[in-house]
Amino acid sequence: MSRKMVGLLIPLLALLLIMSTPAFLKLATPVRAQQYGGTLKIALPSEPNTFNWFAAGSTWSLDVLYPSYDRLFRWKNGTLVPELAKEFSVSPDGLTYTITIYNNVTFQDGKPLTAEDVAFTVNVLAQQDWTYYHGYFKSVDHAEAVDTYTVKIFMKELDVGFQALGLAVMNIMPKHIWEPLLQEHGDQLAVYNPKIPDEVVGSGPFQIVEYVPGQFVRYKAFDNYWMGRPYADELIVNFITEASTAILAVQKGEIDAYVGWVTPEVVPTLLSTEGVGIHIYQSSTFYHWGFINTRWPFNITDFRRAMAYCVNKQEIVDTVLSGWGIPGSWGVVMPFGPNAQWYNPNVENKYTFNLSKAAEILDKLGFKDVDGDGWREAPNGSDFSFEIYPPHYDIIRIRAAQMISDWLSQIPGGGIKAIVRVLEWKTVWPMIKKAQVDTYLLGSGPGNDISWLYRRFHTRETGGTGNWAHYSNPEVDNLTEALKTTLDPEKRKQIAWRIQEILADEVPIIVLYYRKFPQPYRIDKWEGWYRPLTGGIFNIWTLREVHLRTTAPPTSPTPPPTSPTPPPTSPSPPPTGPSPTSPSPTQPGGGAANTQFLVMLAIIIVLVIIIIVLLVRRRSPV
Amino acid sequence: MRRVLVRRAITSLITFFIAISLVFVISRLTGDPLSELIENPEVAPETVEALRRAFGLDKPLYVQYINFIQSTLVGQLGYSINYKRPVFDVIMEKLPYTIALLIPAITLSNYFAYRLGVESGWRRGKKFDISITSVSLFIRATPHFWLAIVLLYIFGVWLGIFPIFGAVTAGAEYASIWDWLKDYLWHYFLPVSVIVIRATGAMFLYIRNSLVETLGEDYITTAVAKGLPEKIVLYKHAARNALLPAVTVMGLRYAFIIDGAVLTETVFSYPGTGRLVYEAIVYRDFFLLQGAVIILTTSVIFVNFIIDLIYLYLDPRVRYR
Repeated sequence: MSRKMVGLLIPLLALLLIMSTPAFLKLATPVRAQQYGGTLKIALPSEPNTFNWFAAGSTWSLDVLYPSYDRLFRWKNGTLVPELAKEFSVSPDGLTYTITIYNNVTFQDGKPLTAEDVAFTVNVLAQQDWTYYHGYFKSVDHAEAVDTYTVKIFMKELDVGFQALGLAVMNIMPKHIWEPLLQEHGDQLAVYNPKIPDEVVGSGPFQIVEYVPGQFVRYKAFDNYWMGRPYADELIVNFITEASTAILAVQKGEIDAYVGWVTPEVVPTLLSTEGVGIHIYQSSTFYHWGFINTRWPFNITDFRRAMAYCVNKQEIVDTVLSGWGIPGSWGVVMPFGPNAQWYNPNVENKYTFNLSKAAEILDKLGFKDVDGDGWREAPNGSDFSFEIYPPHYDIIRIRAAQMISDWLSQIPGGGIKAIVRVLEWKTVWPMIKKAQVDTYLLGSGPGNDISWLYRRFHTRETGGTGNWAHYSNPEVDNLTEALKTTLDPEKRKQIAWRIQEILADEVPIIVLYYRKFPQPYRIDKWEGWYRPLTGGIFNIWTLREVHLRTTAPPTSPTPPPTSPTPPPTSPSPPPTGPSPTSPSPTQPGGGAANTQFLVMLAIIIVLVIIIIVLLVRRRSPV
Repeated sequence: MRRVLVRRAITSLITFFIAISLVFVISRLTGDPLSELIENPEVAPETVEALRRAFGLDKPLYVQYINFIQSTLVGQLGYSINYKRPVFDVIMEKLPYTIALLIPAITLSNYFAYRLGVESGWRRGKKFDISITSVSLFIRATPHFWLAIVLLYIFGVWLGIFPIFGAVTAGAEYASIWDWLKDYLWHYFLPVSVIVIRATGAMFLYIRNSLVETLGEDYITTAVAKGLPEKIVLYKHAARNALLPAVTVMGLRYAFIIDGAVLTETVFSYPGTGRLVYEAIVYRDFFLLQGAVIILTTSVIFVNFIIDLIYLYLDPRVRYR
């Protein structure tokens, strides 16, 4: 070897040397087999923006702060359950809330949590308009502590959803930390990031002790947690920006659960990995085919009904979502989660997929194929077509739009021409608001209180604020207003049922599906995961209850069977969750993906070698 | 020499001014950073207006511009809209990681590219040259993220000798700074390898072709005819001249460090400014973007200055002019 080459090789050798030092090769995480102990490792797809809960809005900031705070009430699998609130009452006029809290609650810095802290938190949210949840507290006049453990909240006006929305999202912040900060910074508290660990203090089960930006947040168990110390000694929330890396990390056991978006395609591979379970939850976002109800012909109710007969929701769920969802309801309100209590089952089968019925209606309306080209013309004889706009980033909705377009073209006696247009969504969005498109596919979130129907269907909310369909019906206007001012639960239910009947009858929008999402988590190391049907696995009940597995020996050298059946104490996937793809039991480890990858790599290497050999042989005689 | 430096300083200032003005204008052309909040059902319109006031976005554009120039001159970068924290803090959280990742990676890859390029150009048409060239073409055609995932799979999952995410082990306690360093380097190896491999492949061809061209020059023939040893001809006569055009390209890669390595950072979940800048663009975080561009412009100007100095060293003609 020439001396020149030596100079080239030295850095390479140095790298190899570093690589092979023992420090690089050892990785030991001691596991104690007790009820208490262990480090629970969760991964989120993104880091938090700020640790200031008053200002925090991004999902990931809220998730990171979640283990540190308690609330008065919290939504648990579709039911509003009291947490810090021991007693709760509302005055008959609905304007005064009286809440008594438990008296054994302390903050992580040792100071007791009292009614003063609750009143302070409510007042900040009500008075500081920059706070993220200010919207839920707009109707609050002020709150005051009546005695050490009783707080009264006085409302400016009736706000029926206040408990379900405002009080259920409100983390109780310590007054002794935040009052001085508020005085010092004023409005600028909106851009203040509290110091860790001294200022990020709550009363929740885990206390934030360390944050390494872009890397992880470390929490330690709060020994004096009022509901009893959580079992895990430590909680670490990692930030893994690439979903495929996160999936590998779960498979390797480097993290215990991944709380991010996972494509259903990888579920079989994950299930065939020993020790990995899948939690499936139902998202309540309603993906719908929306019509601009002010544009011809979508201002004709019968035309919209004809459209309703042309949509086969079940088939969209079966094919495009490969079973990962449930068909949308005709009354828009979903039959699960917090909204289940207001769901009207009578409108369930209002329309069934029936193209002949659609043809009948269209014939009656005058949409007929007069020139015999296979497409129906408008009643005045001119060519007729409309457009469907799905967002460019969601392949599922693009495919759903194509399916709808296909069904419309198959209407007997001449199809309806629906053109699927995929444009940059930032371009389409303003057009929807200004009623410049015909139809669109949108996913919208409901609220936890049924009064959200006001926002979606009241005339006053048209265009700019939530009623994207530009739907207007005086009766729905009155009913949705009544939802906001009626206190009696039975009456509210009647109103909600009536609204759903009207929506199903007039079809301002067609809800196509509600999606289900998978979340991978380890079942071999931990047990006691709380798995709600409508929420993720990273929740306060999991944090309180999850503990090291005591039943199975995870350190056993013989690998457990590769069958995906979870150990007995771990619940199987939720009953409504379909198992869309059964994993092949013969595949060990990461099965299919590994093999494909190997083959791919081998082909590439062989190709490279062939190319090099060919080149060398051709040039060498020269 | 002094006149050159003064002229340099003046043009640098003008460049800086134009660059930050441009980013001010361009970022504001992309739309409203608060638009996503407007569409969020949880957020009240009052809140959006309050935030607009807090960030000074309610003022007329020219006032915003004057404020921006003023605060830049006193070294204030403002507050990030997305992070709701001072821009300086947000960038400084990530910049050390990026510098630690990219400066060694760029230096190593420049060095590898230089040595390989020179050796390969000298042996033009030989087996060594052809095999190295084909490999580098292959690497050039490989997307960053693909290479990253392949390395991750081989070393992280199959062999299991490297961690698959992060820059340090989460929650680890270190007995000493050396333990920390070991842990850091262990996490560092795969991301840095990806960047070195990719960048070497890209720069190699540049240097090789430049050298091949130089080897055709008369003075090389003269040097060989004089009977100089091969090593002196190659490194003193040929390589030095071949390096001239490459120095600018190699040097400027240091300047763009704040752009980071988005894809590598993302795959390895390595914290860095690449993703930060990318997200600043996506979320229209004007102030964060402006802060990043100020740093970028400063470093481009600085690196250009250094490159000029290197030119002085490499090319005596520049020195004596």
